[in-house]
Amino acid sequence: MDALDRLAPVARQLLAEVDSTLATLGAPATHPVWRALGSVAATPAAVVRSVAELRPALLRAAATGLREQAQSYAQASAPTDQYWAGAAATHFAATASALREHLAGDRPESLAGRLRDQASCLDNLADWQQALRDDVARALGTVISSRQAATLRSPPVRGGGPDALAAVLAAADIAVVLLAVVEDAVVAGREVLRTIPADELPFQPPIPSDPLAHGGTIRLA
Amino acid sequence: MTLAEAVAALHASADLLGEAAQKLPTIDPGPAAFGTDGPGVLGEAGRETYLRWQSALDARAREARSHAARIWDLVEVVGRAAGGLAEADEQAVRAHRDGSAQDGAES
Repeated sequence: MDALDRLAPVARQLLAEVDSTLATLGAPATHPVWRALGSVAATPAAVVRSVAELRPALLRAAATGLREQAQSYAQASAPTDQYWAGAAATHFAATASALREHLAGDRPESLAGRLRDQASCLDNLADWQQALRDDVARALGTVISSRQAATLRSPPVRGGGPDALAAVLAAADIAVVLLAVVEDAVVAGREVLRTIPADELPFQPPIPSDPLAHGGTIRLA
Repeated sequence: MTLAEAVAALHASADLLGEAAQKLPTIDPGPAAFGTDGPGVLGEAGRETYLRWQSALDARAREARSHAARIWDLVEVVGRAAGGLAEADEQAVRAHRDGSAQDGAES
C-alpha cells in the first residue's frame, strides 16, 4: 500500500465536490483550469480514480517473465565442437554459430537481448506509473489541507453570491494542481513507450545457404 | 560433437523456441495494467502504450517462430549430410563385400 492508496479514499469527497462545482458553476473564463481541462480531457476525480487503479507490480511481473524467457534462450544447448569435416561441416559450423549468436550471442542485438530490452522498458513503465502515483499522492496531500479545500467544504455554495464565487475559484485551483500532474506525466510516459522495441530483429544468414545443393562434401575428421 | 548429438542439440533449441512463441503472449498483463480504460489523455496514453507493448510482444513471438524455422532448416541440412554419410558407408561396405566375394571366387 503506497501513499495514493491511503490518500485517494480520504480525498474522494473533496474531488467529487471539485467536479460537481466545476460542472454546475463553471469557472472564470480566464482561469487556467480551462486550458488544463482541455489538455487532459478529464476531471480531477476521474483522473485520480484512474491513477489509483494503476498497479506497477503487474508490469514488473511481466518484465520478470520476459527476463526468464531471455535466460532460457541463453541456456539453450547449441552444437559447438564437431568431429566431422568438409564443406557441409564448414557450412554447418557457420550457420550454427550465426543462429547461436542471433539467439543469445554477445553481439549488441540478439533475441535474448530484445527480450531483456523489452523487460527494461516495462520496468521503466512501472517506474513511470509509480512516479505518477507518488506525484498524484503529493498533489492530493497539498490540496486536502489547502485553503481552497476548506472553502469548498464550507456550505453553502449553490446560492450564488460571494460564497459561490469563492467555491468556484477553489475548485478550479484544486483542479489545476491535480491536472498539471497528469499533463507532465503523460509527456514523460510517451517518451517511455517510444523505447519499447516493437520491430522484429532481422537475421543475417551466413553464405552459402545450402552447400549440399552445390556439390558440398562431408568427411569424418 | 557427433552428427547425432548436433541434431539433438538443434532439436532442443528449436523446441525451446517453439514453446517460447506459444508462451510469450501469456506474459501479457492485459490492457488494464497499462491504464487503457483511463479517462481523457491518460487513457489515450495507456492505449498507445498497450498497442506498442502488444506489437513488441508479437514481434518477440514472431522472432522465436522464425528462428525455430531456421534451426529446423539446419536440422534438415545436417540430416541430408548424415544421409549422405550413411549412403557412403553402405557403398563402402557393399564394395568391400563385392571385392571379397570376387577375391574368393578367384582363389
